Amino acid sequence: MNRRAAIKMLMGGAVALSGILPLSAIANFMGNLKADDAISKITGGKHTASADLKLKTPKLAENGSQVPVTVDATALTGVKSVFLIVHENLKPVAMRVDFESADVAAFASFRVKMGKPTKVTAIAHTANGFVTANGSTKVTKGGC
Amino acid sequence: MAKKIKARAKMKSGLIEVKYKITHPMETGRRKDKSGNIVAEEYINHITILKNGKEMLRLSPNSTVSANPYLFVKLNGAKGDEITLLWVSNTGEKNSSTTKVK
Repeated sequence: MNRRAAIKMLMGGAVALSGILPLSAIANFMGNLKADDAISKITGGKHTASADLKLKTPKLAENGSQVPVTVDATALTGVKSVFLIVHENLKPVAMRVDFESADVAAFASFRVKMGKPTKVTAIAHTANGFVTANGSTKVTKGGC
Repeated sequence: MAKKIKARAKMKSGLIEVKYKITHPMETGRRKDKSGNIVAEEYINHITILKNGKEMLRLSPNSTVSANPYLFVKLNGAKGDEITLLWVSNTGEKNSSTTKVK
């Protein structure tokens, strides 16, 4: 891709971003708050645990600044978005992933920072409500 | 520091596996530099992934995502599709990268 096309794309994308995502709505639960408050803000207090939502975190992380996390909701149907909550972090909501197309597998893998040993929760927003899965990670050296 | 995007998109068992590594410090606004000054918060807060110009995924990372974010997602598609990633940081900085599926 040449430079001109790249710039065009970038600008188009930025417009699309600001148009669809209301920033204030995100900030609502992306800030400094308790993990449980964040979960109830996202789910509206109604969520069920399910084995179909798979959350993969290491049991023991040596380096808290690079903890690999995988959220796999492919066994669920009608997944609109997934959230990852790291309970002991100052900002517990680490990531929100919105699936905008049927062409996307409800799957995401990334790395997060963890300050200390913590419970980790994944939330999937499906057509039939909110589904959660829990895990926990021990951190020997915090990375926040 | 140059903020590069390393991209890799490959067909594997019928799905496009897209892997990204974005060079970005992801400052939380709590770290101090060598002289004891707090480093200002600077992190990517929006990522969009497009396939052939159509929006596929939208991600909202928080500052608690690791520095130099790594990302792995899966899409339906075929060889030769163009996958684009765009990111915007809380400071308004932007970058993008387009890659062809191998």
